[in-house]
Amino acid sequence: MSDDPLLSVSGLHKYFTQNDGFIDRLLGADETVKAVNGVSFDIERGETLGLVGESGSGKSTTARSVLRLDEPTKGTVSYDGTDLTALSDREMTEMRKRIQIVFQDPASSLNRRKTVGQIIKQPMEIHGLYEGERDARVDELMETVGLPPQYSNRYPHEFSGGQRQRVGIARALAVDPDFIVADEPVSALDVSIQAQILNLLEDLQAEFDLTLLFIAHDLSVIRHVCDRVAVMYLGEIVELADADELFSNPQHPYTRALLGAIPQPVPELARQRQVLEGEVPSPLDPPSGCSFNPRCPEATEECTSVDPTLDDVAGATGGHQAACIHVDEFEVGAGVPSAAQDVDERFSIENFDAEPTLATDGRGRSGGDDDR
Amino acid sequence: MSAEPDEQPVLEIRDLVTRFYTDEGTVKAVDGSSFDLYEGETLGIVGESGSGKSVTALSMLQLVDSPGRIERGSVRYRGDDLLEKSEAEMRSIRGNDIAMMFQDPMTSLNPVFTVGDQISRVIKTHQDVSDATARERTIELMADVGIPEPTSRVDNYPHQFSGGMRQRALLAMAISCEPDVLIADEPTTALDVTIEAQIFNVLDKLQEKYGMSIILITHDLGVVAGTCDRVAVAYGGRVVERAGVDALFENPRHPYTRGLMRSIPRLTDDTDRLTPVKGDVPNLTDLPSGCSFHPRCPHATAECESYDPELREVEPGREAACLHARGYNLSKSTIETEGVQADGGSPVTPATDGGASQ
Repeated sequence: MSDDPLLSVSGLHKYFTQNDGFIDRLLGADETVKAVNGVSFDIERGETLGLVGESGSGKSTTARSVLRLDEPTKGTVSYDGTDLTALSDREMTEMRKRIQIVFQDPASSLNRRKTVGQIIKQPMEIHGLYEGERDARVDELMETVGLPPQYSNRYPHEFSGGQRQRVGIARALAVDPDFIVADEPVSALDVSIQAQILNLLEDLQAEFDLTLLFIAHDLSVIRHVCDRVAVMYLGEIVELADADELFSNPQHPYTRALLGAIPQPVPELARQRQVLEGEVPSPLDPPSGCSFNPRCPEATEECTSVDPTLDDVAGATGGHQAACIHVDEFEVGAGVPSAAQDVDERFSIENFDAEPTLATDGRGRSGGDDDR
Repeated sequence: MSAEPDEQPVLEIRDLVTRFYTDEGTVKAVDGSSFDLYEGETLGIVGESGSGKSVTALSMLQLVDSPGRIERGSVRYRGDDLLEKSEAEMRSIRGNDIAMMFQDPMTSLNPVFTVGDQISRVIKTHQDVSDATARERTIELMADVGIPEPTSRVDNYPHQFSGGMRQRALLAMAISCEPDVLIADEPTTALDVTIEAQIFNVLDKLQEKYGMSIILITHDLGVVAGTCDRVAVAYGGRVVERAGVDALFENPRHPYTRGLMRSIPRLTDDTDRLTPVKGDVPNLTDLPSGCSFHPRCPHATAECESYDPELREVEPGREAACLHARGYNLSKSTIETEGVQADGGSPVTPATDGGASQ
C-alpha cells in the first residue's frame, strides 16, 4: 500500500433508524438498522476496488455514504487528503466535479424527458464547466463511449439497455472526474452486452486515468474488472485482498462459501456447486459475535460472542485481510475450482468449423448423460 | 436422468408462432420455436431478453393474453395437441399435469392472504378435499420445499417471508398437485447466489421424489450447466441450437451460442478483456431478414441475409440453425432457391439473391 491513497475510508458507519416518522417517535420506536457497520478501506490512484456482497450486505450504502448521497453516521472519508464528511454542502458540490457515479439501472437513472445530449451536458452546466464548447464535448463524449454523436437529439427510450448505460457513463465522464463509483453497472444488462460495457469501462479507465470503486454481486464480473476486492457481509468487510489472491486463496469461510455457490458455466464444475444453508440475518436483529456465525460451517462457541476484526492474515502477502477468529495462518488453495477449459481457443471464432477435439458422442462422460 | 432418443417425448413443441399486435407493430415474440421434453429430464431454455423464451412457456399453456395470439404450431403433451384444447380442458391440465412457476415471488403472491391459504387454495381448486386435508397437505408441501417450522409458518403472510422463502412457497404451490411437468421461468433470478443454490437443491430433490420433467427458462449459462440435462438456446423468437448439456458446453455449434460462451466473464479466468458479441439484441418488432443473428455474426455471408435456416440435425442428437455450422450440409442450390422464396421477403434479399443465382 502506498502512503498516498486517493480515497481512504475509515470506520465508516451508516445507521438508518425507524423513528423518523412522527408516529414512530410518539410510540418510542427506535429500531436501528446498521447498514454499514465500521468499514475501512483505501483505494490507490488508478486502481479498481471491487465491493462485493449479497443483498443486504451494505455495499451500495457504503458507496452512497462515501459520496455523501447518504450522510454517514460516523467515520471519515478522506479524498485526496480532504475529509469529505467535514465539507459544507457547497464545498461538497464543488468536490463532485471530481467524483462521479454510474448507476445500475440506466432506464430509471436517465431523465426520460431530456434528450441524451441534454443529459450528458447537464453536469457541465451545473459545475459551470466547458462554457461555449459543451455541444462539441457532448459529441466527443458520445464517440468516446461508442455512441453515434448524431443520436444526441434522441430520447433515452429510443436506445437499448446497453446504449443507455453508455449514456450514463458519458454523463459521468462529462466533468472529467478522477474517481468514479460504478454501482452494479452491468447487472441489468444482457450477457452479450455486459462484456461490451465492462470492456468500455476498462478502456476509459486507462484513457482517463480513472480510479474506480466497482460494486457488484457477481464475483465473475468482479474478477475481470478489479485489482483488489472487499467482500462484505451484513454491513462489514469480512475479507479484503488482491483479486488474484482472493479468488485462488480465499481465507474467510464466507468468501469460500460464496465462491463455491457460484454456478460456473462448465457442467462438471456447476454440478459440484456447494450449498450454503441459511439466509442473511435481519440487520434489525443481527447475531451476536461474528455476524456470519449462524451459517458458518467452521463456527465454534467462541464465534457467538467474539466479534472479529478485519486483520492481516499471518503469512499472507499483499495486505490480505480477513475478519475471522479461525483464520490463524494463511492457507493456500480453497479457491475457485477450475477445469481444463481453454475458453479462448475452444470457443474462438477461428475454431468454428473445427472438428471437436473432445468427446461429444456421449460415451462415458461424467454425469452420464446422453446427448439426447 | 436423460431419456433414450427413441422414447416418446412428454412434450413435443413444433413450429410454435406467437405474435403480439401492438400499436408499434407486430412483435414476433415466438417465431417458429421447436423442441422436445423427455420423461424425467430437465430441459433448459436459455436466452437473453427478446429471445422469446418466456412467451414460449406461456404459449404452451395457452396463457397468452390479448394483444398476443398463438398463430400456429403444435404443443403435443403425451400425444395430445394442447393448442386444440378448450379453456375448460386447459384449466384442468394447468396445475394438474403441467404447472408453472414464475420469476417474481413478490408479485406472484397475494399480500393479503397467508401463504398457507394460498397454497391450500391451489390444492382445493384442483382436488376435492376438505379444508383440514388441504391444510395438512400444505404443511407437508412446505416441509418438502424446505420452509422451516411449516406448522407455524403456514399462517404467515408473504411479507413475513424472505425472498428465498417466498420462492419456496411458490414452488410448493406449483408442485401441490404433483404435476407431470413443471415449467420454471427464471425461478431464481431475483435471488442471491447462495439462495439460488438452495432452491435448485430443493428442485432436484422434488424432481426425484415426484418424478417430474422440468423446463427451466433462464438467461444464466451457469445455472444451465449445473441443472439441465439438455439445452435449447433461444434467439430472436426461436430455438437456434439444441444439444445435451455436456456437448453444448464442450463444443457449441451455433455462432450465437459460441458468442455467448466467449462473452461471459468466468471465475476461472482473469483475462482483462472479454470478447463480447457485437451489436445489440434484436428488436422483435423488426427482426433482421434471413438468419436473425446475421448482423451480429462473425461468420455471416451474403446467403445469411436472405436464407432463414431451420433447425437441422448436425450430428446425432444435436441440432443447429446455421448454414455454416459444421454438419449442417445444405446444398448451395437449396439455399439459393429457398432463399428467394423465403416468406415476407425483406428488402435486402432480392439484390443479394439475384446476384448469387446468376
